Amino acid sequence: MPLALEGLRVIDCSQGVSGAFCAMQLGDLGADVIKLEPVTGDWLRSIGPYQGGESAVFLQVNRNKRGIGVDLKSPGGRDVLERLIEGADVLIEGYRPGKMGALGFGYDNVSHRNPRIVYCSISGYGQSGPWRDAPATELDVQTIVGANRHLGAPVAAPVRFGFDLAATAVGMAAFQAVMVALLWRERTGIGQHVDTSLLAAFTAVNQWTFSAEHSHDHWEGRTLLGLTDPPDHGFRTADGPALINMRGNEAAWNELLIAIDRPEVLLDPRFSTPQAIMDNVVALPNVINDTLGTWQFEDLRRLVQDRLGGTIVRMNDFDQLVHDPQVAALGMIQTISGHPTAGDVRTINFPWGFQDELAALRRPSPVLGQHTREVLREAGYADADIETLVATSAVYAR
Amino acid sequence: MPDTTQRPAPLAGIRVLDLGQAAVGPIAAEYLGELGADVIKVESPEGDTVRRGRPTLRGMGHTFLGNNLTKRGVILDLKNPDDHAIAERLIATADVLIENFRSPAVLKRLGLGYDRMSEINPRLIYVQSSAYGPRGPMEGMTSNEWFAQASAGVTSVTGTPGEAGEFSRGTASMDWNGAFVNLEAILIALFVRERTGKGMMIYTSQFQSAMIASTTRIAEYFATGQVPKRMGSGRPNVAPDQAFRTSDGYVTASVPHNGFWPKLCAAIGRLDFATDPNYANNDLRVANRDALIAELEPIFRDATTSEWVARLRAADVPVAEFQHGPTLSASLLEHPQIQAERLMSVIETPWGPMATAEPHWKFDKTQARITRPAPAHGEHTQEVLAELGVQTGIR
Repeated sequence: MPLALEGLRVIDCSQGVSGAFCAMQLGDLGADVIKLEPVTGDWLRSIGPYQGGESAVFLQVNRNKRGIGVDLKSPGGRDVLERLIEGADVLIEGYRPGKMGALGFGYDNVSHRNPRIVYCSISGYGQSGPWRDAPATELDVQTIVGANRHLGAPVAAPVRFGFDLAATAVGMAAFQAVMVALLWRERTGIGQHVDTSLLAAFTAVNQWTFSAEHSHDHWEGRTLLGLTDPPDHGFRTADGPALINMRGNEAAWNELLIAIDRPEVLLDPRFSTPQAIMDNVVALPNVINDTLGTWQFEDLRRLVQDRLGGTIVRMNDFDQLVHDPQVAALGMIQTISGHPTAGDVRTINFPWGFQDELAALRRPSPVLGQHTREVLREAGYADADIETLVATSAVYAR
Repeated sequence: MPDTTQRPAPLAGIRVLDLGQAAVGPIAAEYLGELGADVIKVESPEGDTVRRGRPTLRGMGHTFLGNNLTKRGVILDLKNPDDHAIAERLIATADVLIENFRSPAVLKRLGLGYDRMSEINPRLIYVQSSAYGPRGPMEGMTSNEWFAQASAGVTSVTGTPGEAGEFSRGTASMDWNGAFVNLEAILIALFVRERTGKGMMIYTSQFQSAMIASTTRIAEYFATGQVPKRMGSGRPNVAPDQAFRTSDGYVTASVPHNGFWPKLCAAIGRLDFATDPNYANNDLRVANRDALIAELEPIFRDATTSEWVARLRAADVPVAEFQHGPTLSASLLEHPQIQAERLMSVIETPWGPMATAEPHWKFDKTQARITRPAPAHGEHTQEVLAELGVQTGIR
């Protein structure tokens, strides 16, 4: 059975994380993805840490692609992209709005050459507006949308959300838009220009906050209910913090307190009725953490989950996460072999669980210019012409 | 792209049954509705639990209102044989069914597992979005936003250095992230169906989706083996990329790659930094981070936040003004870039006006839009049954 997008060709002209992530997902699903980088390489290659001399983040988001180096300012380089566009189904770009147009590869020109192409633009702030030309980072967008206003203490130094959530959100938003356009093309035979931005994707993800702030009957303010009233740090165990949820079951909380040998807590008016426990559960860690801190997480898990029917999860650090048996059971971490300098590279698997094989980890990220000659030959260039392009630095070939 | 004409909805003609609760199922269905699908939210007589969550708007849970735009709402008690039969009739007409119960066993026990669904409708795409996935020691466990954040390691990398880790609050970020993945899965399956003519079942989980959100941090960990720490507003492998205290607040300044370093140096009036060998590239700036930040901090303290925003913007350096403070929505709605790109709007609902994000993609030949507010409980039961040709008494 072919992979989901087998037979489709994608040209990934983006640099950095988000466009690469979108193109990676298309490659995971079997598309033939060609990563087109400047002859000096994607700037992401210069961001550490490194494995075998290659940027670790670059390695993660550029798997399942072949790589070519092209100078789009040179006539020879432009000719290469023109030829590749003819056979392409999808083009992804993440430049400042207007830059691809200035190079002669805006949607109007490209779709004129190939009306079936799905052309995906990813920008920081969008294709229009007073900020259209401004550069945007993860931190900018987290700050502008206000995701980090609820972190840290009210007048202390800002705290960011430690995942690059906006960067992956816009990568997925771009993927969604491309897939919608491909579906539209199945119906109509026509391609489309789709666009999204860090700001658009992250505004969508943060809808709840500004929606709730804008209009509400009565609201305590900063957060959702219960265990996360700031600053809540969960319950302490001997192997680190954990969250416990007895799912509204007062008897289970009572049994927990007895099982950890703290029955006197039940006499505390904050915890002596079902409603009281639910209202004051935020205060419970401070009261029992000293005791819980002597329990190994696994023993507490058996008590809370197996005996009392509650749920408990560790607040994992990355060592714990990566070695978590649930991660292993789901195959969430795989190894791709064959990278010329990094060797075996661990990678986070795609998140869709199909019954048939519709996605696969087929090849590692390319080194710069690894497939330039191969791709140019496929595009119809004679070997002598390829060497001329290399010699004039219109392309870079490893 | 200018939005002056009515363009067709790209997924017109697709029907989605949303049997989800709370977030990861319903939000994905909501996005399909924005793309033009006919989305029917199927609720039990008790209704989606987040109808009763806080805060509320004229008594209706805000979470429900925001997660269920574009849908019609029907009530079906799947344990009732007549309603069960109606559910099967709906499945026969549907393209997509999404639910986020703790495991596929829930619908299976109700006689609506994938075997039955695909027997009724071989073209149906069924997404089962659980907390922890279809296998493993945590299979079948329930979860919520906080458990999703905890197990994915959010708190290990979010917070002030030296202090305990924090949950990201406000929006349920792992819920929305999980919904994004669910939408991806559905779109992939719709495309495959164009080629094969067949539906399929897909498993997704909040746990896997949360690992996708941590992609870059985990990739860094794979290379170094070092457990990443909390860094306040900073980032482990890029410098500078953090907030700086100004004379009246905080501003964020970022040098995401080396092309921006000379621009920042110019903006802060320290061109000598641009030729300082200790700061010549990102690797060196990271290695010499402490010295670098110690040099930058007093510079930023010397002017106001708005002065810095102007200077860095003029120098083409990524910058943002940090706001402490209780509410943001009014200023975001009036933000010139949000307005120019039409990323938010205030829509009328039967419960009053509410602010919402507009669809997060733009298309030049088709159009996504918010077609209607969230439904009242069972608001469209009669209408949908009439469409099915089902005779009903008073329900």
